[in-house]
Amino acid sequence: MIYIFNYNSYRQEGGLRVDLTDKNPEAVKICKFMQGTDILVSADLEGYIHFWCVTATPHPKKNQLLCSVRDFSESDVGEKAFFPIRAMDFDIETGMLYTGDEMGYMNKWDISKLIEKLDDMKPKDFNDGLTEKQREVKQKAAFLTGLNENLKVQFSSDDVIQVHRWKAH
Amino acid sequence: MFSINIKNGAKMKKFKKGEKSKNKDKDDVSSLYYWGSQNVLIAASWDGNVRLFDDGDASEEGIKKYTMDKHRDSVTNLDFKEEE
Repeated sequence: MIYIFNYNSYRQEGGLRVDLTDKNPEAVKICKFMQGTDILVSADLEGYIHFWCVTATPHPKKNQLLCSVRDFSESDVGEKAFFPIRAMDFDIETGMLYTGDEMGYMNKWDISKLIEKLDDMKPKDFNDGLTEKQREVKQKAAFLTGLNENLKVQFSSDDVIQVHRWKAH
Repeated sequence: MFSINIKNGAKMKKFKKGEKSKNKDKDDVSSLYYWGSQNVLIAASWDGNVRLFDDGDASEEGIKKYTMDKHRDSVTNLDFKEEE
């Protein structure tokens, strides 16, 4: 379980947990904010990397799981094996996430598509030219007709591209 | 936990967790973050707590400001984001 805690207000802003129907979620090994974006990345014991939307400002995907990816290695007997991620870092300039697992493998992930999609969904600034009344009507209409475009946007593991994988240690 | 002046190696301040841990056998510090703009040290522990220490004054001991004890088990990692 990941708790989002606001240390300005000393208030819990949310709790992030992967919903699995068949079993309990695995322990989180590491979590990291992708500085400059609204994404928090976490890695669990089973080798999954989860991407969450975490922001202090309003967002339709706030505190929701966006997508998950998993890298696998091959064991000596030819079976798929998954190893937990132990370290990660992010380069905002290129949109690349670097991860390292317990078997010494490094991965370079391109998450620029994910960042772009999430940014596009961000509600426009309150100074968007609309009056309070106009904004209210627009929101009500979107709710009633289900035409709020933001709600239609789906995230998937295809938004995260594995660019490179290598044995580092 | 200690803070050390990396220029001369002098021990500057210690940070004590204070209260008894929920689990005495698991009180290792798993992760630290220094919130520079507020002079606050945030420490996560295997005992399930996340503690905030004030590092703003010149005293020998950092004052514990707050303990977050929502976790049922060990806190393995923490990260911090300062909103612009």
